[in-house]
Formats: sequence, C-alpha cells, structure tokens
Amino acid sequence: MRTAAPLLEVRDLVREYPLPRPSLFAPRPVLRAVRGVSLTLAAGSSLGIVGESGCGKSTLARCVMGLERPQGGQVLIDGEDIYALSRAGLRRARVKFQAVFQDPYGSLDPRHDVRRILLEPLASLQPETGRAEHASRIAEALEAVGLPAEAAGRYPHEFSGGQRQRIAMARALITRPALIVADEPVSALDVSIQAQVLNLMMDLQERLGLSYLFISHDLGVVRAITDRVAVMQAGKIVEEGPTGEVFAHPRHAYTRRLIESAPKPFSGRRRRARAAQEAPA
Amino acid sequence: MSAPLLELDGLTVALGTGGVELLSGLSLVLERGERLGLVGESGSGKSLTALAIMGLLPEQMRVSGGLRFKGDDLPALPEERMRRLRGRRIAMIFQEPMTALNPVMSIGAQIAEGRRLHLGEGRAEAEAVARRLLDRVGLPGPRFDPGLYPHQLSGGQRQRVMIAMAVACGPDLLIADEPTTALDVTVQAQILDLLDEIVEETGAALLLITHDLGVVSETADRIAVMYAGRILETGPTEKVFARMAHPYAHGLFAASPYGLDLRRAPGEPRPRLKAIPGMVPDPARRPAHCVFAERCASVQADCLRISPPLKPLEAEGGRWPHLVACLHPRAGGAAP
Amino acid sequence: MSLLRAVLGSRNLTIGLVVLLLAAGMAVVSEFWTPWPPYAMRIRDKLQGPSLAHWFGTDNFGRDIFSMIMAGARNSLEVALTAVAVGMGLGVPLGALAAARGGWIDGFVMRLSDLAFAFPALLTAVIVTAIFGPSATNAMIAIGIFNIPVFARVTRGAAMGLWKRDYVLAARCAGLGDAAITWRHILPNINHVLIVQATIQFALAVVAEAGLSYVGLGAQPPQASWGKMLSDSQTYIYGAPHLAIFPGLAITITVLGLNLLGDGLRDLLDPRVRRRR
Repeated sequence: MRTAAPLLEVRDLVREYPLPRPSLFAPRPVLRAVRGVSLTLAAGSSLGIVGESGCGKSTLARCVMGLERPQGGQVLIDGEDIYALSRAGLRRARVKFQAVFQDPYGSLDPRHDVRRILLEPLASLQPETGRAEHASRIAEALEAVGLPAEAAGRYPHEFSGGQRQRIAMARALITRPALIVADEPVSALDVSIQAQVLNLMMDLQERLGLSYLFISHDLGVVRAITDRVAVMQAGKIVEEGPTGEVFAHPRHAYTRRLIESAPKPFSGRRRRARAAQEAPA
Repeated sequence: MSAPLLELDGLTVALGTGGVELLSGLSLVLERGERLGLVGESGSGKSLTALAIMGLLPEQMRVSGGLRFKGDDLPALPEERMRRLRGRRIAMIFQEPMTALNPVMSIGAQIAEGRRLHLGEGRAEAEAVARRLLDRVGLPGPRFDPGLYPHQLSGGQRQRVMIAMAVACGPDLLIADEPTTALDVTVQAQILDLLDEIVEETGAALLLITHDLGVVSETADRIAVMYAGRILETGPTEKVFARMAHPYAHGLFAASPYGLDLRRAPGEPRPRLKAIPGMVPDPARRPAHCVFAERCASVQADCLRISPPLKPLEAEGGRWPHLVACLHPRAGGAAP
Repeated sequence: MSLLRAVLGSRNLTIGLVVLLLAAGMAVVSEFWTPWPPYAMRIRDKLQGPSLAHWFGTDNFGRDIFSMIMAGARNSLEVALTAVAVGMGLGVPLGALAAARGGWIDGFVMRLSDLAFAFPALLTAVIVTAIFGPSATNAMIAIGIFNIPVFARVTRGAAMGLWKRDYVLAARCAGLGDAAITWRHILPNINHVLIVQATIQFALAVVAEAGLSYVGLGAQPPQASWGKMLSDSQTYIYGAPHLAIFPGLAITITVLGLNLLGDGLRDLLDPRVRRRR
C-alpha cells in the first residue's frame, strides 16, 4: 500500500515555543505557533499555505523541512515519519525534500561561490556521488534554472535578486528531490522578476514532476502556482480546498476577508465603509 | 495663477557633477487634495524622487532642473529653511514602522515632538494634540495611552502612529514611501483607508510611492509609472489602467498574478505569467534611446534611435492629460 | 596584485603594517645580531646619552639601550602573540559553541566570561604569578586568560546574527550539523571581525606585558623587556630621561601601529566595502 501514500502527509502537528516567565514563580507561558495542523500533498502537485504574519505558516514550513521538532503530531514524507528517524536516517531522507527560502540575499553564503553552494547538499546528502558526477550534476542544475554554466565560478553578490533565487532553486534541485518546501520564495522580488521565477517553478514542476509546499502571504502568487490551498489563521488551517474553488467561493469568513482586503487593479477608489467596522489592527 | 503646491520640471538627479543620471527629467505637478501614485519596481528611482523632494539626498548627488514647492526652488533653499519645511509643510511616512519610530520615546512624545519644534507649543498643549491625533488615527484611549512605547504596538498600530506624526503639524504634502509593504493585507487595507480619509479631511496632497499596482489603483487619483529613472506613463488612474499605453506599464500588470487568466481545462498545463524578459538596466548603462527598448516585446527600429519624451495621447487632455513616453503606444486594454 | 594595491591604498594599513614589520624584524634580527650584546654590563659606560656608538644611549649598568629594545621587542611580541593565540584558541570555540547551541550552554559560557571580566586583568595576572611564580611564560598565560572572554564574546555576538540567516537553514536542510555549519558558514563570515579584534588585543597585550614587567610580574632579569626597562628607568628619570623615553616610544609606536593596522584591516576585510570594488 506504500504507493498509495501521499508524498507529504502532516498529521496533527503541534509546535509550541516557551516564552519568558512573566514573573519569577509564574509558570512559563507558551506560544502555540502551530496547533494541530493536518494536510496532505499528492506527488506532482502543489499545495499553498496562505496566511498573515504570525499565523504559523513559516513554523509549519520549518517543521516539514525537518528543522524543528514538533511537540506533537507527525510529518510523513513518502510514508516515513521524519522525526522518528535516526540522524543518519533523516540525512538519507533529506535527499527527497529540499527547501527554498525568501531572502535572495540571505539564503546564499556570500563567501562561497556558486559551485560550492550547489555542492553542499550533494556532497553531504549523497556522498556516494563522485567528482565527475558532481560536475555534471552542477551543470544540470544550473541549466535547469536557466543559468549559464560559467555561473558556477561566480559569487552571490555578482547576481541580481532574481538570479539568486534561481541559484537557490538549483541548490534545492541538485539532489533530485520529489518535494520542495518554498517559504515565500518570490516575496522579495520585483513583479517582473517574480513572474520569471514563478514561471520557472511551474516549468520545473511539469518537467521533473516536482511537488511544492508553497508558503506565501501573497494570495495572487498562491493562486498562480498551486493546485490546492490551505488558509492558516492563528496556528490552524481554517479552510482547505482546490485553489480555484477557494478563491471563487471562499467559505470561511477569514478567507473572505483576506481575499477582499487584497488590493486589485481596476477596482477603482476603495470602498470606505468596510474598514470602519473593523477594530484597529 | 498661483504656483502649484509641488512642481517637478525636468528634475534630474546625478551622481556627482556630470556623472551617472539616476533620475532623468521628471515632470510632475501635484496640488492640494490630490493623491498621486508613483509606481515602479526597485531601481526605478521612485524613492529617490521622494528624497529629492525632502532635500535628503546623499551629499554626492547633484540636483538639476526644476523642483518647486509653493513656488520656492527647493534645491536653492538654505538648509535652515528646508528644515522648517520638513515635518511642518512636507511630511513623510516610511515603509518600516519598526525602524522609523524611536524605540525609547513614548508614542505621545514622538507625535508631540513636531508640534513643539515647529509650532513652539508647550509640552502639555502638544501632548493634548497628540491624544486627539491618536484618536483620529484609530488608536483610541484609554487602551492606547500616549505613554506607550513602539514595541508595545503591532506593526499596523505603529504605522498609525507614523501617520499621526506625519499629520501632526498639518502639512501640505504627505509623502508615503511604501507605507503598507511591510504590513499584512487586512491591515494594509485599513491603513490605506486611513490615509485616504486623512487626505480628504486635511486637504493635504498625497504622494504615494509603491510597487503595487493594486494599491495605487485603489488609492490614487492619478498615477505615474516610473522605470529606470524616468516617467514612462502618467495620467488619471482610470485612464492609465484602461489603456496601459506604454508596453512597460502593461508588462508590469501582465507579469503580476492579477494579469493571469486562471481558467484551464483539466489536464491542460498551468498558464504562465507574462514575465518581462531581462532586467532593469544599470543606471551607468542606460541606453540613449528608449530605456525600455531592450526588454520591450513590440520594439521597432526607431525605438533604438530615439528617447521618446512624454507626449499627450489625446488632443484634448483636460486638466490632467494622459501622457506616455513611447513611440508606438499600445491601442489599449489590459489584454495583451 | 589587487590585494597589494588595496593595502597600499589605505594609509592606516600601510603605516600599521610597516610598524609591525619593523618591530617583528627587530625581534628576529636580535636573535643573531645586536649592535652590542644586550645583557653585557659595562659600568664604565653607564648612563651615557645617545651617541654614534650607543644610538639610544646606555642604562645604569652601561647596557646599550638600542640593543635592549631589539631584544625586548622579541619578548614583547612573543608574549603578546601567545596571549592572543591563547585567547583566540579557547575564546573563539567557546563563543562559537555558545552561539550554535544557545540555551543553557550559551548562558553558562557567558556567565563564565562575565566572571573572568569581573576580575581586573592585573589581578588575574597577580593570581597566576602568585601560583606559578613570575616569569614571561606565566605573563603570557595570565594575559591569555584575560583574552579568552573577549574573544568568546566577540565570536558569539557576531555569530548569533548569522545563525538566523537563511543560508544556515539551507545548510541544515543539506544535513549539516552545528560543527560543520560553524566551520563552513559561520567562521568564514566573521573572520574579519576576529582579525580586527586580534590586532586590538595584540596591542593591549603589548601594554599588558609592559605593565606586568613594570610591576615585576613579567620578564625576569636579565631578560630584556620594554616594560621592565621602563620601570628600571624610574630612578633616573630626571638625570637620564632617555632611559624612559626610548622604551616608552617603542611601546607607544608599536601599539599605535597595531591600532592603525586594525583600523585598516577592518576597512579592507569588511565585505560590504570590498564588494564595491
């Protein structure tokens, strides 16, 4: 029955952070960042997580990336609970899932050239690959993201924001993963460059059969790239469904408010009455 | 006829004398009570324009061309008089309410500071005004005491404090540089509404700088689309959006997810966004011809010879004509 | 080539480097040659002013001051270098560990360094020498101990910010552990901070060595040391001021040079400045 298992399954995930004690003898309050989230992602498809800052979407992403052990629940990748694995087991499993981060300036070590950046996950996660294979895999990854082979010898500061996100994408692809967790991958980019990177992600998905867990605050971006979308609020998923369906007929009040608040061209001067009844945020 | 509130007349900003041009010949007029949206991507020069108006450009930048506020030539004003304008007549709202507020000063004191400095009010008087301003921007007492500190507020609340600070002295011109970019969408909507109301009530002019077409569309009466230090298209918001005569203005819209038609039959590949190929040219390597020519899908031979000036699209432009800097303006519509 | 041009382009760096090379050169040469044997007393020639034979004059035992300064350079630099090496060798790993692990380990390391800071450097030195006896070696250890918390703090402070960077998260996604991340991503990105701190500590160590020798806890006679020379000159400060002036100048110039070197290096190594090339 393993073939029937979804690529990614998150079950009742709980992640809490202890906060400083308000006074010496008071119990430690906890920040419940993710409070019982369950979701599934089928191979070859993309699932968007939308929500506002502090809703827990980035914490959820880090839990799925295997970077933060949750207090409760499971993260299953290919049916394997990644937090039940040994250190070596998790390392082997990481080949299957990689990550892309938001900040194109902070996600690449400024002291490493592109070759070294791309080599890091490959050498660490697939040590059996030899020197010859390294070179061919680097060339393959650069080609996949539309960068010239010479890029390998250059440093991050020689590239623009959009090109850096391509490098980050190449780094994520080099182990030939099935799942890519992308946390706000285009939020720091200008619209015209954002479109280039989103198109690249769609191309790669079709060509390589990738799956994306795509975290974003931007409804438009999520609408463009995902098959299904989950709306998160205060650590919980309040609505989940096919992207087109959720945007056309939002069921939860919060989803409706999110969609309504997003500014749109052609809407004309905004209707004022709406905001008047809302509490100041 | 009296001088306009703000007039940019071929404003040019260069790095050093005769050096690289960062802004090239910007012309704009802004009157009280108007909302003008300045849209562009990073490197377009939109924030630099704001700094030029505020007289806060770095030392090594040289300003030429006209930059007048109520008829006064701003670059020629002595720093002393410029200081009296800043905060009093021209106020600015920044993107990051976290860093734009002083963390060790109470919000009431920060709002009152401008009035004490510019209007010579006493502490008690100015703080009473601060209380009223906090009420006005949607931070009512007793929950929002003027004695609170910035870290005790959320991002949206801090941006409200910034707005209260900006309007404290009753300025004629409000410059808002990406005022909602750091905020969540639901909060953004509220802040835009607040800005809108403030303009309505005080009759100040608003220069709204943003990269978001949706934000300008919902807030501005007129817009100016900037690219590589120039204005490529400007006019009343509805007219510009209806026509998008400049290929860049249209490209910007088409590249955003708003421009995407999401309908597709099952099994069909996902529709792609219409990305603009290439990158914004480096200021030192801007071409002498049309700055957008290299990235333009409908580029023609003459585009590579001439740098087109802003020209009216219709003979009868009215008070605010629809201008475009393109030799072959698009016929119109959001569709490609 | 471009490195050489960058070095020569900075006045601070050039001056600092020249001073340091001069001091180091004197120290090395003193091993093989000095104008006069630095420890040979010739009472007949005592307290002479500067002359062609004795460039910096002679001291109360008739020893050639220039030769002693050369020999003292070796002692000063050796003590300072060892002290900085001890401080870095223990302080940097401790600081890196605190930044990588956070939590109670961080708290423990930082409280430990607070404790070390709470003792004045001289007191630390007095304790060390009280236990192990006064000598140049023990001076090195004493000054080195004082350097440990300095480097631990600087390392931790600079590293903390980097641990929040996305490239560190990416490295963790690549399966790297804390030690590998520290080695590959953290240390290379803070080395400019550490190098600059090292030059500052080096300068302070030169002064500290002089101070310890001055109060008799450092180099022991007949071993030459700038600080020792300074303290020996006290009695003659009115009659033969050159006894104090020359070692004093040696200390001042070396420390000034090291500070200029630190300033220059900070500018040279700052990635933001370098990127603007």
